[in-house]
Amino acid sequence: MNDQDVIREFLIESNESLARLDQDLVALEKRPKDPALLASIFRTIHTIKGTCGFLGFSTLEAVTHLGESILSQLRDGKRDLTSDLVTLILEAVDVIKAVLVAIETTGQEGTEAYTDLRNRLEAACTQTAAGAPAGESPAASPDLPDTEDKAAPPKGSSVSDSTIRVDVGLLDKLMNLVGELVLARNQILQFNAQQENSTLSATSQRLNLITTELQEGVMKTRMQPIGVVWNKLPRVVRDLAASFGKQIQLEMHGADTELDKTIIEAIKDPLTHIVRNCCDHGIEKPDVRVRRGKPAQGKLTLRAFHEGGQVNIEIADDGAGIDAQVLKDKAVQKGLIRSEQAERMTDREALALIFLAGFSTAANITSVSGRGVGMDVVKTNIEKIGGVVELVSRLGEGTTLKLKIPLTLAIIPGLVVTLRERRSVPRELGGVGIRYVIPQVSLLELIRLEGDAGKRQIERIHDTPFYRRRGSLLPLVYLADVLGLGGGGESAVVNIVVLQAEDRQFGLVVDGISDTQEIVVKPLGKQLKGLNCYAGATIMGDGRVALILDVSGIAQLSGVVRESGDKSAAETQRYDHSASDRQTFLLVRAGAFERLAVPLSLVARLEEISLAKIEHAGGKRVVQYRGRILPLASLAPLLDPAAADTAGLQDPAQVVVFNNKERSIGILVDQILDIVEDHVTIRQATARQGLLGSAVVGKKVTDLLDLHAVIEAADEGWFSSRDAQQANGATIMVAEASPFVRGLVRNSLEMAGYRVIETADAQAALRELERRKIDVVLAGLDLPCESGPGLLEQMRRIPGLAQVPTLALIDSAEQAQACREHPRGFSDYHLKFDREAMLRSLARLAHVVGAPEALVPAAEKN
Amino acid sequence: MKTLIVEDDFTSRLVLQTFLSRYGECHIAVNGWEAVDAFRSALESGQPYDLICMDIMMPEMDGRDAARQVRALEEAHGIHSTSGVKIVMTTAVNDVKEVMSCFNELCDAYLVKPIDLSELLNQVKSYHLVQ
Repeated sequence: MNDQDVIREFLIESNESLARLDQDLVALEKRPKDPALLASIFRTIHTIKGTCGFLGFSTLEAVTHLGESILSQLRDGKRDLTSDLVTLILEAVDVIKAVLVAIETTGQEGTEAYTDLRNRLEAACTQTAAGAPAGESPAASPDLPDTEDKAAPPKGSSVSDSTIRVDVGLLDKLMNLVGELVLARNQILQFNAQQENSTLSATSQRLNLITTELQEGVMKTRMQPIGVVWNKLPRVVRDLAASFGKQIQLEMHGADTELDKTIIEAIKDPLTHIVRNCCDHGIEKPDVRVRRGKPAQGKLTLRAFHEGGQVNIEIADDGAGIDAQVLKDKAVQKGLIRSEQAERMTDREALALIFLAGFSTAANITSVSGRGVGMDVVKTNIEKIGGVVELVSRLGEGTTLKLKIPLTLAIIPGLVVTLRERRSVPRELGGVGIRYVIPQVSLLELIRLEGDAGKRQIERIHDTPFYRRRGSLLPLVYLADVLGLGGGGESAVVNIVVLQAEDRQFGLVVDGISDTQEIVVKPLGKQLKGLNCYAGATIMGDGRVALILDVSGIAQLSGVVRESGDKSAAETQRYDHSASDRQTFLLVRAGAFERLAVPLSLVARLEEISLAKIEHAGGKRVVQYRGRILPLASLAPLLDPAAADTAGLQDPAQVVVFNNKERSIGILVDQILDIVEDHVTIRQATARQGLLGSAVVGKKVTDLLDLHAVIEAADEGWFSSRDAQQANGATIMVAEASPFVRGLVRNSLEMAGYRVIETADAQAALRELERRKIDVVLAGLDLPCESGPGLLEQMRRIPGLAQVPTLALIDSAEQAQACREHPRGFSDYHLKFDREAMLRSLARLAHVVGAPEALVPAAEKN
Repeated sequence: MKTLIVEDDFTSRLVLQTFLSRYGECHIAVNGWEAVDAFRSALESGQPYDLICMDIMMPEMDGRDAARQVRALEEAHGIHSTSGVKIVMTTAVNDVKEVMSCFNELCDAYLVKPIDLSELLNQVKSYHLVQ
């Protein structure tokens, strides 16, 4: 073994133990009296010192020797560990690292003698000889939770004999060869499919199996636990916390989650940056935290786990969260977006601003973050390796960043799709057409539309084709158009590949869909690197090259996903709705009313009833239905008495059944159109009997049925008679400005058997409250005269009303957040359209309140 | 200075014994077991060794294991780290991994055979065991 080998060996071993040392020292600060930890640290330093002496590195020996002396004094209990001392030792570790780097590059220690550090170390050594000076406080405050560093249990330092070191270059080469082997295997398999030779077939089967196993094996050799990257984070967090005067506890879960070495390398810097950001911007100073009712010590949690062939890494802090408004203001101020854009932005979109280049919200530029480079680089780097970054933040509660990263980049499963031959394409590629590969991670589903019926499902809105998929609109992108190959004429079938790009879904229309394959990703040549619709190339089973499509590149190219900076208004609105305030509607047609919507949650069943089965009883139409008599009423005449009853014109008749425990009613409609899930955007109240108003549902203007009025009109006494039976039918007051919302809520509540009083403002609400017994109040936050909370305050001052439980009706998740933080006396809060939760809450409250003592006419309107 | 020489090779043992006897009492052990036993009884009788010169490759128990046990014994007696006996490993193996693993067992020096006696003396002097 020559000198260079010896030194290289020494460097490798030392670097490993130094990486552990940082962590151990940080842990020691928390547990200064842990003898095992102290012993482990001492051992590491001693080993480096001894080996340096042996190899003749005098500077290193001197520095480590001083460090060892201090540790020795700690061990002998001659002194207590202080924060300053830990910092000093960490500094010494840094010097050791720096010298090791110098040795690595030059083979020499370098001339720098580090006298300053040595003097300070020496001073620290002698200080104790004279007894520890007063004024140095013990480093660890006793109230610190004595948490184990789960991520990095101090490992036994003996190198296991069962492992060897392998050059990464060799592994890379192996990986490449395996890639080639996979290609050759694919070719053989394809060749075999055309032959009828059982020997060949058996052999190729074995080859197939062995190749797969080999591929997995080689891939495993390249796997490293993510702990390799995480190891240095405790030190980073500790140093940052110290320099900001914060207290931060770092928790790491799943440090043994493995991923490919190249990916580990790629996420190292982004991860560190995110953690720095959390420490700098996320977690507040202890006094601020205490004022906000949080523990003084902030918590930073790192979590890694495998899910669906991907590695998920979550970085969560329990800090201040991100204020969307502040982000918007900053972005406008920096000219990154226009102020109108900012106004239209949802909070979620505003959060995405943080990933824009040149964006930084730190009021002060610190050495750590706030220089305007950072999160955009983080995002770019993660996306470069096919990963996704997701940001969730709750103001006051903290921020969570989720990274989804592929396990490996070299061999991925992909879906092969084809485009038919087009005029602009050279002939020799004909036959199978042109093949492209779509990475399977982005793939959601495949849809095949056949014939004219299929094509009718594709709609056009402003020249953009959409496919109506389970009630929601999926933007379509024609692959041939995006790639500039030109239209290929009409074809009998439409193949849609539904893809996920960032947070959007879109359908990619291709001519043909073949099968899925393991493909070996080959980078594109320099000349093609600029084309962002391709992620690479691969060699197919027949030896031809196919391009791998870059899904987010295509999404951007086609305008499905815009650069986050300049989303158009339409775009903004389209994705405006969070899932929570969506509602599912049943759409029906009746007479002159082309589109009528009723909340699906109120509908019991949809039926088709043959006209022959409809009988008459008591002057009304009825049908025998599930052993009972179901009264029927036609919807069109109920809405417009002048209209002709069109419901009976078709056979079988379509019926929407509403019911409760006691009674049912069937409403005859002309046609049941669709069920859509949508966000109620534009609302306009109408005076027409039986309608609540108009709204845009599923992109079209739709009338919303006032179910209460309709059923009342169809079957007088439907509500009141039931109330009489239902002893516990409590009286609920709905105090809400919008008649539309009032109507919807009223419908929901009455269907559930409550009596409902509506009031439009706080004054009216108070008057009603004094006039009659109300069991529960539902109040909108933005109630006229007084706000909802104002109403509540007034109620609290009036004896007898003070105890009435009050629920807040809220519009958005943001308001929910506000209510959660400041309940202001509300018993609970619910989204205006979250029927289920509202009813649950009411049932609970009404039960507590008990049955009303007097029966008030139920359908009374104010 | 009370020394324990642990060495399975007769010649090496003789050289060390002759040299170190000048500075005080010198005991001999021929493998790790003997060494640990000798060290334990000396420690328990209140007359511990000041120096152990130990080969690494020995039958029965090798030097590294012996060093580990010696340090463990000291630990049990409240003697921390390297403040107790000084352990000088002597070996023909010039391998940095071996070196590091010995230091990791808290030995104090590592000398490659053939032993340079003046270097050994320098080490012993640096421990302030002899003038």
